[in-house]
Amino acid sequence: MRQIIIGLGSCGIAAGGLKAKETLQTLADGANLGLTVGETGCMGMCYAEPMVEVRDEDGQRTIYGGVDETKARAIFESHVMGGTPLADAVILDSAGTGSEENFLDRQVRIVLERCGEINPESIDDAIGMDAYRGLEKALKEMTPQAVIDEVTASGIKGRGGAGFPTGLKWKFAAGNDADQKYIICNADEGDPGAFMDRSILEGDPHSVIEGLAIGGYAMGATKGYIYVRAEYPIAIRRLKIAIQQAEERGFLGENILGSGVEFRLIIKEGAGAFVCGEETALIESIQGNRGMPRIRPPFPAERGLFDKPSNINNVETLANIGWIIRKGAAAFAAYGTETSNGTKVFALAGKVKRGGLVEIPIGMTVNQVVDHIGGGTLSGKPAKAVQMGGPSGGCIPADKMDTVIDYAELAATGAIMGSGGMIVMDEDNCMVDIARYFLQFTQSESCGKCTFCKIGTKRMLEILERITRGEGVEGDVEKLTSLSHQIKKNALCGLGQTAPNPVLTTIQYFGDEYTAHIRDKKCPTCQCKALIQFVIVPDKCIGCTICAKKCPVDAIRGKVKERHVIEQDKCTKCGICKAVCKFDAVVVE
Amino acid sequence: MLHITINGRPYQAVPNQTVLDACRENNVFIPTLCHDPRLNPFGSCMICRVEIEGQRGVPLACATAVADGMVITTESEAINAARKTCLELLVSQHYGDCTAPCMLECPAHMDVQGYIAHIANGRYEDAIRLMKETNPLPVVCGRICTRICETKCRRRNLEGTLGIAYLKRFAADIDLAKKPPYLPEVLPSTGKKAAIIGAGPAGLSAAWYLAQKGHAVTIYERQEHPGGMLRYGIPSYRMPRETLDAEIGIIQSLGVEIYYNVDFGKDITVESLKAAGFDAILLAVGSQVGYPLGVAGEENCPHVLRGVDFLGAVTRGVQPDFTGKRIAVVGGGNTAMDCARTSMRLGVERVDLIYRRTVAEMPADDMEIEESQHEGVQFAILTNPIGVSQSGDMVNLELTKMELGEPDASGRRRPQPVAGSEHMVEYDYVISAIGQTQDLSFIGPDCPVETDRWDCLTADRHTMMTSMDGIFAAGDAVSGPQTAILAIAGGKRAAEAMDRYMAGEPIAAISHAMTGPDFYNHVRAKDNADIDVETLADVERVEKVPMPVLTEAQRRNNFNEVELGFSEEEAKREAARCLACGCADVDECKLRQYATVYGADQFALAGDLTIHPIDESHAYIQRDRNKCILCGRCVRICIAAEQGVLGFVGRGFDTTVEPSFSMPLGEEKNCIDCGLCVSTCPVGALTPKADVNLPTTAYLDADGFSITSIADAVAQAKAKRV
Repeated sequence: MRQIIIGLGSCGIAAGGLKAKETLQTLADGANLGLTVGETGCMGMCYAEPMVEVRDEDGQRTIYGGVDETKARAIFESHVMGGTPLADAVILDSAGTGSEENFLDRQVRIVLERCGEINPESIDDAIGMDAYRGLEKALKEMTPQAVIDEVTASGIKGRGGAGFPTGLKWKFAAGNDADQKYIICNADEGDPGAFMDRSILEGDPHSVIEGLAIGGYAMGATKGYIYVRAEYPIAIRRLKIAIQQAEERGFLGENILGSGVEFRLIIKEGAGAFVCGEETALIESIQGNRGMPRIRPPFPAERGLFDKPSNINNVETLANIGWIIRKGAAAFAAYGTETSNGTKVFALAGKVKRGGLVEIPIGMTVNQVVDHIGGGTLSGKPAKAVQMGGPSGGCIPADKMDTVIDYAELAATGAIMGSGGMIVMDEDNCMVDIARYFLQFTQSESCGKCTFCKIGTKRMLEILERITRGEGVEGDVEKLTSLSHQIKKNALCGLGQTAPNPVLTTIQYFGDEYTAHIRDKKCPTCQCKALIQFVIVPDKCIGCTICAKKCPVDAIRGKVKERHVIEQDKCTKCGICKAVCKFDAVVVE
Repeated sequence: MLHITINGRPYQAVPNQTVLDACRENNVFIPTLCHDPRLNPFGSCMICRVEIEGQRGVPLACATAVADGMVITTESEAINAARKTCLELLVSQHYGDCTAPCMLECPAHMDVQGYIAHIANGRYEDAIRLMKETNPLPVVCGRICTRICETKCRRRNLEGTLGIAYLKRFAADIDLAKKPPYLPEVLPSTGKKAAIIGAGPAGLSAAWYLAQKGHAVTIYERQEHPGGMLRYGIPSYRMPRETLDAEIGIIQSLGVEIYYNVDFGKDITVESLKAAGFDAILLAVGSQVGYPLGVAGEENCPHVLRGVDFLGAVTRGVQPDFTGKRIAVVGGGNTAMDCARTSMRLGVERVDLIYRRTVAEMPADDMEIEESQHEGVQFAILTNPIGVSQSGDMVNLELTKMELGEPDASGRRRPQPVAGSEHMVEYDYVISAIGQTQDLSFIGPDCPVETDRWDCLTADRHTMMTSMDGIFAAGDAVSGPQTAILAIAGGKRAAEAMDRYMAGEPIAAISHAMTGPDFYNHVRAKDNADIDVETLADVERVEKVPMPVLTEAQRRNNFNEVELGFSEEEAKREAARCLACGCADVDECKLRQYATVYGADQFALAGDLTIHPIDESHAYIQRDRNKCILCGRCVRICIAAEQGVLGFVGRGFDTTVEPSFSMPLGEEKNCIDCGLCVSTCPVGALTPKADVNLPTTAYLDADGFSITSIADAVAQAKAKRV
């Protein structure tokens, strides 16, 4: 019997996946053939949501994208009932062909192995795809030390951004004796434009649970916390279901798989403060305190949650663990570069044609991700830069986009691997404004504790705001640079220490844009409203009056069939006139 | 014992000690704002960063344990630059005045806010004691001071400045009427002798402070009475002579001897003074030679007088008969006003005040100008003498009209003659009151002191020592004709230097700690005009209490004192208007101390600033979030006291420390008044209210934090509540 599966990650739901599901469910019920309509998590191609997969009896899989109600009916009629795939709507099939084949053909799926494949609310689906095999192997065949050795041998580094070797971190935690230890999953994903962790938790919560259980066994922690932001309700719901199912199957509990090992998981919902992704602030938050970072040392491995040795790993890191134990460190290390192994999941976003969740072997270049997987920019204009690492990261300019994706190579550009945000920018993006945007984010998310971050980023933001308003003065860039270095060196936690990165990299690679704003009072990309004006080119205007009619503030004067003029003192620079003009007569200068 | 190295020198430390504690124990300075030894390290201020060999980054001294062999650097260019940035960031988010602007502006740095508070509380003895720490002539200054302090009064933007001088006079007059008046403690005799040339304000001030130090002080005065320009340059309707003598008498009662009619350079010399055993000499000879009009024919006109000579003659009762006469006074300064108003009291027909610019440019005090006009002086502005001749008993004064041209170096618009406007006016007497210079005829082989290009004695800004060892100078002789309060301040500074000099101590490093120009001083705004009146919206508007004065009729033909002084009710009402701008924590504030040490600039990183109302709701504690640096000490100590009243609220730059639900502190039921928050606050954000009986000793804060343990303070507070 054919199966119908709807992509119902947050991306699918947001694009209308529930409507597609409802339509197909009604049709399937009406057909009365015992057709199942299932669901799965994010398949990665967020740009093509809502997506529907049809699995034929012979295992042949066909994926359709952009499935609205009409398309759903057509797919049902032609493919489900008629057995003939709706050819022009297919974006990918089992043979790996279809309009979107480039999106997947160079990806390697370790973390996302089961994402988009299984029903995340079905542990049987997950087990059917090898979930908990790694845990079983660890408990039955390996000592805790052997597990740590295997993780160490894999070379995996923390995927949350800092890139600390996971094996070493586990070793520290294992080395501290205590009556209670904790392993914590950091699912406080907060970078603007990042959705890797959410997609993993929504698509395959079992991978994270398995990673935690293996880690708990390896370091002797009998309790684990998953700190997940409350803005991820679907992830939380699926995690809760998965934990319950794992307990029922004996993967969690007092005596896991009869091994005598105890491990329990608690979900702690965070209120959404970005700084709570910082591990010591996260610990404070779990303890019920205000999310403010602590001084290190003592490091959490010595004195962490409730003053007990604690180990904190990111969602993606943990999602790798089951695979590594199951397939072995060597299999993992087969991917990557000399210094960085495995794969990395990115949330490809911004002005890219195919935005979504991608997992690539470390060692691909930025260009390959943007052009091959992402299909280039949405506008077709050349990419100008890629912002990696979110507010803590930096911008990689076009001429450096052949940089290999690897912790060290990226760091050399001033950007960072980060947790996986990859935002593509084209020629229309103002880099000063981008820096201002990220700094505004970090400033408003600063916990208010340390002087450099709390006040320093505010003063930097004020300077950037001034520059984008056309009120920059000579010396602003130098002041920004000097404050940046002081903040990087002296702020208490990673949030503050990395906050100046977007500013420093844009100054480094796009210094001329700063100069244009400050000295010439011009925004080269015409994005900064205070520095631009909309004008009507006399030769092109035919006096159709459409712009004057659409202008919300009546700033456009002119008679029918006569040239129109924009009154600059009234114009609010909303851009509607430019958008509605059919003759390209409205230009920005 | 552990062996560590700090800044290249070996020290010992105790295991588990922090780097901060180890350094403090060994008297190595490390700044910290957020650390209180009673609490765990927190890491918010980030100013205690040090460098430790072999460690990445810059660890926090408060949170790093010492280890054997540790090599620590506490000061380096990078560390100091980071600390300076840290402080400049903190002060960029700080709103308030360290020192009240009036005190700062006063040349003598009188604690105006302090004595006004005492007056408001009826504590007049405390007020006079405080005044006399910086000024031995408050009776005088309460009458004739130019009151530049009042120009900086923060009430200026509201309904008007405080009557600071009026209040000073009120308290000083009470003291003067007492038998005996307030006298400071005088130290045992040092056996040293100081000679002072000139019994004007500078000399008298120096004498007062030198005498208190136990030195034998002798003043030599050229005139027949003391006071200098206070007597011979200021008319008695402003400064009654018996009042002046009475206050000088208090100075003399400390054992200061004054010899009159002694001319320095003739009757006595440097050599003779040294021979007489004087260990230090102060030249406080003043500036009392009036400038001539500077027009042709002046030297042949006996009826053209010099302002200061005229005022001196009136003081001595030897002035010409002005009855029914027409008088011209030339000039726009205070001396011109004094000459004009004095003339008005001598039965004249009329007095014309001739000034080449307009009233707006006159250097005289506004009040003097107003009183002159009030008393009937006719102002002839934009008028300038260009020639003069004596014709029998009359003087023909040739005048020209003037107009204002481009601004000159002083910023005032330069007056220029209007062609063809020349005219002649006949006067009985013309008084030139356009400035004074110094009589330095004593300079010669005996006393070869250096002078500057304005013919003033050269003296070091801090020590007041002249180019000659052991010879000091102060007052108008150094500054040119200035104010009494500047001379008093100079005299005091000279006395401090002379005291050290006579004791054989170095004098080079005298600086005026808390109010000196080198001390960091935070201001609400550089200028009163920059203060948004909205921020003073909660201040009750109370009109300035007017000074009771003689009516115009009562002033005619006499020299009775015009201003009558405040009643007690008036003084208290006026004193209550003081906004008490200066910070209660000014002497203890760590932020201020460190900002001074690291040379922080309040405006280097200036930006947005949120101005909060001051929370006065608590019985004992004033909470001023404008000064909070978010170090979290109050939050943490309150948690340690198991009350948890305070917490952080908001994010980023807008973070503040607030009681539960941001309610006023006084409404917080969990507060037990233990005062631990006040004791730990390193700045003026949490201060004990003045003049209330505090329930615990945790408020009593001598060194920036109280040693009262958390448990003791809580126990005391709880006991008091039961």
